Amino acid sequence: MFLVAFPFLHEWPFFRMFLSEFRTFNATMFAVWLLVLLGMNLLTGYSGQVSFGHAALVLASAYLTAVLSQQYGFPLWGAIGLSGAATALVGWVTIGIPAVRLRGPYLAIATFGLMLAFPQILKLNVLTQWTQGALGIRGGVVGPPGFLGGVLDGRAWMYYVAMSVAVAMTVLFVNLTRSRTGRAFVALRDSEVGAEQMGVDVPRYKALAFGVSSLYAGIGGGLFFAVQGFVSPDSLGLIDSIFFLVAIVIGGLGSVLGSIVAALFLTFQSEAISALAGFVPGTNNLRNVFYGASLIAVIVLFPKGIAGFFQRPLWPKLREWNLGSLWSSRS
Amino acid sequence: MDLFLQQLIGGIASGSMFAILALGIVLIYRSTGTLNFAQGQMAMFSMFVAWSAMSTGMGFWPAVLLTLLSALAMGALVEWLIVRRVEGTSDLNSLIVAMGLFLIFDGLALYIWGPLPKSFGPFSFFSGGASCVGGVCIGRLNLGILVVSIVTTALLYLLFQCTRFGLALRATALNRLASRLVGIPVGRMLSTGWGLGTAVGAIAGILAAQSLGLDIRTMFFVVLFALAAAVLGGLDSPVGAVVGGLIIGVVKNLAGTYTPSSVGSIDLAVAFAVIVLVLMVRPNGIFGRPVRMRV
Repeated sequence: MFLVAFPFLHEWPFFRMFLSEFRTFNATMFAVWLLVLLGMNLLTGYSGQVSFGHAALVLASAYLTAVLSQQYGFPLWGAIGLSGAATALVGWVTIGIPAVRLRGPYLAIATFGLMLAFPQILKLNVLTQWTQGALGIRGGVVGPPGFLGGVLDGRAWMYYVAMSVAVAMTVLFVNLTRSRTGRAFVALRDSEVGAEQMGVDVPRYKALAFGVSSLYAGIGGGLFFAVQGFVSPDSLGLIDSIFFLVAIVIGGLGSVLGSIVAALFLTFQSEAISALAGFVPGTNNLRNVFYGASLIAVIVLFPKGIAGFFQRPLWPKLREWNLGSLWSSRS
Repeated sequence: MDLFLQQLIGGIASGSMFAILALGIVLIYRSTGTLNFAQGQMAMFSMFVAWSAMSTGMGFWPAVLLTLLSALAMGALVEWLIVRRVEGTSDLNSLIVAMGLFLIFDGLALYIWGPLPKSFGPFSFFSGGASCVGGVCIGRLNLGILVVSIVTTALLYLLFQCTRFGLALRATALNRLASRLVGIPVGRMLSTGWGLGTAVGAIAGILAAQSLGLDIRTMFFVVLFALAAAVLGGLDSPVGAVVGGLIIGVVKNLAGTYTPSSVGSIDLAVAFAVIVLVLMVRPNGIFGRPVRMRV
């Protein structure tokens, strides 16, 4: 109910005090980030593989959507679906299957490389014909279909589309993680050799995790273009990939609730930091220090992130930082 | 032909800089098994330390010495305070911690020194006329980079191969339990590994700044070439890092020279392609040891 009413809340007297139309845009971006972060969490939190290149997948799909819809006349929603499917295929075949042979740091290096190289590839002169080089691609105005024309404006329509896709894919996600496949992913994460002993087809499931994760990134990327109405090679970069990681780690690895918290974090983090900078000067510049420190603290103290607080008591964990060992000789 | 030789030499010079940055990554990887994605940003931080020291009127070489000592301490401290908390848990955790370090050093530099680029070099050691043999010349900048890289590599080689301390470091990297049993202070060796890796990274950073200038993003992309070098040579092989660095430098330069301008710049894509190719054909790199898995 709340989600359905959201775009209209700002017109009600009570909510008008703290909601504006801008919040509808925020909520739409929340839906986009939720899709991306669910995918990232499936890969990292459930199946234990690391990607520093998720923003590149999102960017690729945003570009594909832009090119298909703006230059080849595909309807926008069709273009998003097609881009999502294409990204899933690319993630599954070209990254997931080779990644089967790569463990730990190697996969991280490969995706890190992809992330840094991808904007440069988009700017290649030979591709300018499609990508418009560094200028990026601008989308048209997206309005609701005719019969809803009087009721919704473009922004509210976009909200409903993105939010319903996000809700539907979250439900699918929950079902997937509770299925045989989802349990195979978790077994992979906990011990690859162990999973193999239990009869899990390790290469197949590792590649599959990458494929499904790419599907979420791809749909998120297509919606990203639709919502922003613009994409350029610098729309998303390494720092965004890192922020995705920060978000899911703080939100909670291996948890749907964690992904939701993560998407909230990603949607509001820059605004929150700016607001904080109003009280404490310099906070803006210290942002990355704060996030980096949180990342490490969460991994050491609360590996389940914020979502973990809802699952078990918190204070016993503090002892595990184990500062005592700093002074004892552990040689 | 002259153009080819010219680019080859330029490639070797910039490659030697990638090589020592990769060497830093390898030293750290061997010590705690952490692939230090923060290597570039930690080097950048050290470069700013050098800049600060020089802006108080210190000479170039004293400032470099101070920077190396502070980088040594910084690396050791990072291992002792942070990396040790997640040691032996999982690859995932150590990678996440590395990204945390990336953000911390990135943000600290921004907070302390601000977003504006600083003027840092080229210093007298790196500037002057070119030296020519036949039709092939090497600029003073490249010569300086080459000399510093060779000296750094030679000193590290001596440290590792000809001293008891180096032997202890190598033993720790090879087998931690056995090292502990023969009385090597393993914890201290791990911290030293991080310290050395960070200090070597700082040297690479100072070299990079001579041609690229100094700001927060200077090492952002350089580190990709170093990673490609480390992967190509084998992540646990110092010799591999040096060879890999030189190859990457040459390949990058030649690709840059012989790619028609209608294609556009492709240096990062080349580094990425090298990484993918190596991982598909020979995941342990040229000199690396294969990894075995255990439950």
